Amino acid sequence: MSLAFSLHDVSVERGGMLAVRGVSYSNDAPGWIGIVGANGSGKTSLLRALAGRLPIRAGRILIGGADLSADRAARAAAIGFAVDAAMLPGELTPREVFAISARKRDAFEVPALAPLRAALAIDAFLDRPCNTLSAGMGQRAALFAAFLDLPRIVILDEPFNWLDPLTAFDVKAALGALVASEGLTLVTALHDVATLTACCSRGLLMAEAGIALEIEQDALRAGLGDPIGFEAAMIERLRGALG
Amino acid sequence: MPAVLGRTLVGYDLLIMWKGARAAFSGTGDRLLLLVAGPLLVAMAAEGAAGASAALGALPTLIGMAAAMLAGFAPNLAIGRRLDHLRGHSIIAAAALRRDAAANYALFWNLLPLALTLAVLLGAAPRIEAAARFAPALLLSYASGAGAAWAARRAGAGVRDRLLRRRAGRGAARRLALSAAGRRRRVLDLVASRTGLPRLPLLANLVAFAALGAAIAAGWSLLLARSGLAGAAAFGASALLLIAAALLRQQAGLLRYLLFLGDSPLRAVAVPIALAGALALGATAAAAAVGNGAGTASAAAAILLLLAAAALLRALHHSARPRRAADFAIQIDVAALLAAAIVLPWIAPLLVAGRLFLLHRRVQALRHIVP
Repeated sequence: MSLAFSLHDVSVERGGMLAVRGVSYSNDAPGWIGIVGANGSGKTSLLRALAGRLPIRAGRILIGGADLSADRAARAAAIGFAVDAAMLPGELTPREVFAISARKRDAFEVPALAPLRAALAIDAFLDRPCNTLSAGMGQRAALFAAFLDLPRIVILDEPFNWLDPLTAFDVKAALGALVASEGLTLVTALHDVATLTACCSRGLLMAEAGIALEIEQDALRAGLGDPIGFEAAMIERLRGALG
Repeated sequence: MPAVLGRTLVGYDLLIMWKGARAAFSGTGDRLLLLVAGPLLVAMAAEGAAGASAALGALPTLIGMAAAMLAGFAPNLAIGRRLDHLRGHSIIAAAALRRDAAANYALFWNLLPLALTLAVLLGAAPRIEAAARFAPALLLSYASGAGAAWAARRAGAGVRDRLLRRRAGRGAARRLALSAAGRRRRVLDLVASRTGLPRLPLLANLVAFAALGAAIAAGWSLLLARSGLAGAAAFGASALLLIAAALLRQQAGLLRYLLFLGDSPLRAVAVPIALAGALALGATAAAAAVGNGAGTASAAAAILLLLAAAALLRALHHSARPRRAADFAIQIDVAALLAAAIVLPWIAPLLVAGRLFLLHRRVQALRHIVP
């Protein structure tokens, strides 16, 4: 069962500026939410605040009906979050990273995660120190760590960066299947509209520190029939929002 | 060490340190160096502790309290920074964000220096009543130093946020296209603001460090004149060295970034050396004003040379090794060179120069394969 979350007038400050300004959004059904927007539009700040990695300056965040606005630790515990691959401790191996990240002893071996584990092909570098991994391998390890213990909400910030086309394709399929089979809510910041239309059940367009457009599933499915036209429409909308 | 121990904050750090140490000594040469330097280090540490005990026994309580306050201040700044990182960017953020876990973490890393301080104190005053007389004052000083560090962090964050808001409010986006000289100056200002006092360009930092050096020397001279303490000048020089080393330790990330940009190790450490020079100059000028210029100048020059050698050693190691391995290698090198300097003081400068030359040659060789 999915865990609902909602944001009410949430503002997040970074570097003396409001990176997120008065954002409100409610999610009460499982699915894959894709967030697209220009650089600096507030995607990462919003996701990091939702996952407890940043404090919010104003507003409320509710998860599963509980107001966790002031409780960053509870937000971080409730939500799976993929850390920046460069922040993985270089001395440890992915196997050790997984053992530390998971609360359950057998989290790594859970059958539900087997397809994702295969798509990420992490067994090939499980026992190599993280500082000897390529950027793509580090990204794969960081992505898998976010799903350990199968949290009901998982946040991935630009998850397909650094991945080769083959792995990216397989991972998108595995994530879609995992969301459907386990009833997860997956929130991802994305940089390509094609992934938004092909994989996501809902979309958010962010501009100027706020949500410029909520895109429902019907619009995304319609976009699959005319991907080029849909992308052009999204870009136009983004240009308009940026002024 | 089992990985599950890393689920606690302290365990996580200890696991990383343990694995880092193992990686640093994975090579035969590194192990050989450890084998040779290890026993020497243990002997030096024992002798150093005995010396510190004796010095502590001879010092007025006031100075002991000031030292304890400094000992409480510095590690708590580092603990706060580490907790910020663990909360925002690590795989154990959920644990680091819990108040109880963070408090236990801070307590653990405070107990270590406290235990060391108390051990030295007991060595200095083996009789229980003497220890009981000194311990409360030192513990209180340590605690107030620790409290000051947390207060400074909180106040510093507030000031930083206000400055950032003001700058953002002004819309002061700087020009990105710069001339080569402008870019060079911008990099120097960036290094100065991250190595010395934050948010200040190089010139302002140089002035600030000169003023700090003058204030330390003037204060110390005043204390010296009033107490007439034997050997206090050496203690003052050591304090100046410790303060300079603590203030001017260049962040490893910044150092590695400069090296990655293609700066030579010498250029990468030029700013902290210049700031140390300003500190030494300020101290010498103030001491000269009260008639102790010559002694202070020679001590300041020696301190400057020592800091420059240490900074260069650090830059050369970071050019050639992964971060943690470089940290360990630096510690071993410094300890080995110190040991050699104690045993054979007259060839110590040659040993330092030789070691720097060897490392430089190694880095030059690496540049053929690292673009």
